[in-house]
Amino acid sequence: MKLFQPSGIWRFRKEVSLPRLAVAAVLVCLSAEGVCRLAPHLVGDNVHQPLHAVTLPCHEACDQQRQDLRWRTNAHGARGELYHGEKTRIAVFGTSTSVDVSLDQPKAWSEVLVRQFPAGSVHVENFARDGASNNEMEILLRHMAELGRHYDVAILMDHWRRAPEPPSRKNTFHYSAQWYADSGLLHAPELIYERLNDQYLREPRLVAIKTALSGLWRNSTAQAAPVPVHPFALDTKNRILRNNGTVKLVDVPVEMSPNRKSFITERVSTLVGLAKRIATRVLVMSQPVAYDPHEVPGVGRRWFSLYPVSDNPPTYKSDKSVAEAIRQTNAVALPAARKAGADTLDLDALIRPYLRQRDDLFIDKWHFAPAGSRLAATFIARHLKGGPGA
Amino acid sequence: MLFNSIEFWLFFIPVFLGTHLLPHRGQNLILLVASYVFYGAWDWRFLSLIFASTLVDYWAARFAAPSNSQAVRKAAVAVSICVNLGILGVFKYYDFFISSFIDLFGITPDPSSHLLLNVILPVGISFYTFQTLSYTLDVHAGKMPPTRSFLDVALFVAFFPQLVAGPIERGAHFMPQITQPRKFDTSQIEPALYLIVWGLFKKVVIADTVAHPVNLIYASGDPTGPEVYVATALFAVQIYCDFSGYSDIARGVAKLLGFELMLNFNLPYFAKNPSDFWRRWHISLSSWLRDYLYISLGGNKNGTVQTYRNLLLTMTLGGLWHGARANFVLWGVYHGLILCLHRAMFRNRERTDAPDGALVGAAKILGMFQLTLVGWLLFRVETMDQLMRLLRALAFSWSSWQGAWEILDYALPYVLPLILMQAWQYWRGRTEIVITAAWPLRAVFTGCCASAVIVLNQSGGIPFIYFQF
Repeated sequence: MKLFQPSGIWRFRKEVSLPRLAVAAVLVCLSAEGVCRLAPHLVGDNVHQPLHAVTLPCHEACDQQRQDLRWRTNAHGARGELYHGEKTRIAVFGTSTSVDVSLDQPKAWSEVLVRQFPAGSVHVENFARDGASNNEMEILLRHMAELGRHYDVAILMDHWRRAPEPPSRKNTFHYSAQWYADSGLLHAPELIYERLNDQYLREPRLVAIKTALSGLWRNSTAQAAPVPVHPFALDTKNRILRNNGTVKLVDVPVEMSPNRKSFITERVSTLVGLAKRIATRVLVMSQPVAYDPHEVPGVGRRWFSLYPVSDNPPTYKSDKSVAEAIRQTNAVALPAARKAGADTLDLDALIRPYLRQRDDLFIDKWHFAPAGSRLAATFIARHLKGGPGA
Repeated sequence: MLFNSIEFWLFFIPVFLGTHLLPHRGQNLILLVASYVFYGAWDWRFLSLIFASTLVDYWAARFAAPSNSQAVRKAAVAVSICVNLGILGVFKYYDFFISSFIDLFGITPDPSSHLLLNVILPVGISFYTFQTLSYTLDVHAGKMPPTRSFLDVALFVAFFPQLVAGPIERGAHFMPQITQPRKFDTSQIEPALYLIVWGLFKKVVIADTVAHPVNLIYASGDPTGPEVYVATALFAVQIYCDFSGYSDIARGVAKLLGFELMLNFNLPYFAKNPSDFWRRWHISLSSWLRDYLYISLGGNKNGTVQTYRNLLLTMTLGGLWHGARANFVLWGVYHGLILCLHRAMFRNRERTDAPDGALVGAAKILGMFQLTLVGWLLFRVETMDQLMRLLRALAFSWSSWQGAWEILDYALPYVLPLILMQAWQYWRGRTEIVITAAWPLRAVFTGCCASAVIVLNQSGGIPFIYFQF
C-alpha cells in the first residue's frame, strides 16, 4: 500500500497561469491596502449610549454582595445623569480609580460628589474608563475642545504611563462606549481604526497592510507565548497567595528615570493645556494608593497585584515598593500640573493618614471601596468649595 | 478553536496537507484525529459523549439494516433515539424542565439546589446528535447500507468543519463521501476560498460589529420604539451573518478537504412566505425536522387538523432545539402559527396563481421580513420582562428617532456590502456567485474581504451565536 497518494489539488501548479496569479496577487494587495487606508474614514463610530442601566460582571473583587455592578450611562456616554441645567458642570477624566470601577453608580465618588453640594446645583459627568490611558484622555479632550464643550471644572487623575502599542481591548464594554456631546460624536480611541488613523496621519508612508499584518502577528504571538512563571499580575486570586505567604515580596529600590520624569511632565502639561480649553478650572489630583508603613493589617490584605522581580525563586515587589513608585509619579505630576496652570489636590496625602485606623477605604491597592469613595468625594468637594483641606 | 482565530488556521494547514498527501484510509484517519483534537480544544471531557454517541449509532445502524428482522430494527432505532435524545435531554433540557416544573407548581421549599445538575452544555451537542440520528434513521429507511468501518462512522459524527454548528448532514448524503475515495480537482479551490473569505467577512466584520448596538438596545432599560425596531432588524442581520458565515466557512473548509456539505442558507430574507422562509433558513435543520419529525407524525396526510397539529408540534420542538428557554419555545410556536396561517389562507392559491410581478414580489418579501423580525425579537430576548419592555417600547414609544438614526448611520457601512452581495445573488439566482465574476474582480473581492476581516476585527473573538445550541 502506498504511504503517500497526492490528490488532484497539486495539479494547480501546472494548471494555474503564473502571470495571471502574479497580477491577481498585486490586485489582492492593492485592494487590501485600500481597505486598510479607507477603513478609518468609512466606518462609522459606535453608537452613543442612551440613558440606561448597564449591568457588568463584577471584577476585581467588588466590595458588595452582588456579583454584578449597576451603572447608569447618560446620552453623552459618561457615567452619570443627563445634564438638566445645573449651575456647575464638572467633567472627570482618568482611569479605573476615577470611574470607581468596582462600585455601583450611587457609590462612585463622582456621584457622591454631586450630593456634597446643594441639590440640583452641580452636575458631574465621568468620562473615565477602566484601563484607559492618558492618550485616551488627550483624544477625548481634543474632541471636546473641537466641539466647543465647556465645563466649570475638569478633574484629571491618571497613572501617567506610556500607553501600550497596540491598545489593549480587555473590556468590550468600553469598546462600545461612545461619548456623544451636542453636535457630534466623540470617539472611543482604543478602537483599532482610531489607531490606524492615528498612525497614518503621523507616518503616511506606512504600508497599511503591513502594519495591520504585523499587528495581527504581534497579537497572535503574544497569545501563543509560553505561560509565564508568574501568576497574572492582576488576578484577584493572588490575594490568597499573598496572604498565606505563598509568594515572597521584597523591597526594591525605586528610582524614577529622567526619561520618565520628562514624559510625565510633558504629558501633564499637554493635558492640562487641553483641559483648560474645555474648562474654566482644571484640577489635577494625585492617584491615591492604599499603603502606609503604619497601616492597619487589613489594608495590605486586600492587595492582589503581583509585580515580578525575579523568576527563580519567584519574588515580587512589596507593597511599599509599589506604593513608592506610584507616589513618585504623583510627586512629579502635581508640580508639573501647577506649573501648567492647573489647580492640584494631593488626594493621596489626605487619605493616607486614615489607613492607620481603617481598612475599609480600598478594595485593592488603588480602587476605592464605598467608604473610600465617600471620603474622596468629601475632600474633593471641600477643595472645590475652597474650605479646609483644600 | 474558532474559525475566526489564527489557531484554527494553523491547525488546518497540517490537516489540509495530510488530506492531500495520504491515500483514502489515511485521509479519514487524519481527519478523525483532527476532528477529535478540534472538539477536544473546546473541552476534552465531552469527547466521551461524542464517542458514546458514535458507538451507539454504529451498532444501532448495523442492527437497523433492512436485512434484520423488523423487531430488531425497531429496537435498534429505539435505542439510538433514546440514547441520543437522552444525552441531549440531560445536558440541555433537564435543568430547564425541573426549574419550569418547580415554578409552575410553586413548590416550596425550593428543591432546585438538590435537583438541578448545573452541567455545562457541550458545544455542538444539538448538531451532532441530530446528525448521528440521521445516519441510523437513513439506514433503517433503506436509504443507505450501514457502514462497516467504525472509523468512518466516527468521522461522520465528528467531522470538524461542521461539528459544532452544522450544517446537519444526512447519512445518505454525507456518508458516501466518507466511505468512498474522494476526487479532488483544482476547480474546487477558488469556490472554497471565496466561501471562506466571505464567511469570515460576514461573521467578523458584519455580525460582530452590528452586535454592539443590538446588545445595547436590548439591554437598555428604556429604549424607544424605533431603536427596538432597528436593533431587531440588525439582529436579523447579525444572526444571519453569524450563522451563514459559519456555514460558509464550514463548506469552504470542507471543500478544500474534498467534501461537499449541503447548502444551509439560500437568501432567507428574500422569502415571500413562511414556508418559503423555512426552505431557505437553516435548511439542514428544517429539512431534518420535516423528514424525520413532521413526516413521521403524519405530515399533511391525515387531514387539516392533524396537519396543523404536526406543523405546530414540529416548529415548537424546533424552537426548543435552539435552547432550554421559554423564548425559544415561543419563537417556535410563533413560526408554527404563521406557517399554519399561511397554509390556511394561501396554500391553494399559490398553486394556481401566476408568478408575482416585481412590485408584488417586493411587497411579499418585505412583508415576510416583518414577520421574521417579530420572530427574531422573541428569539433574542432572554426573559419575559425584557420581552414586555421591548414590546411596550414598540407599541408606545415612537416620539424620538434620534437614537435609531444613529444606529443606522453606524451600521450602514457594514450592512451595505451584504445588501449588494445578496442582491447580486438573488438577481443571478445562485448563492456561489463570486466564481462567475471576471478574475480581476475576484482578486479584488478576496483582497477586500481578507483585509477587512483583519483590520475591522474589533470583536476580540466573539464566539458564533449558534455555538450555544
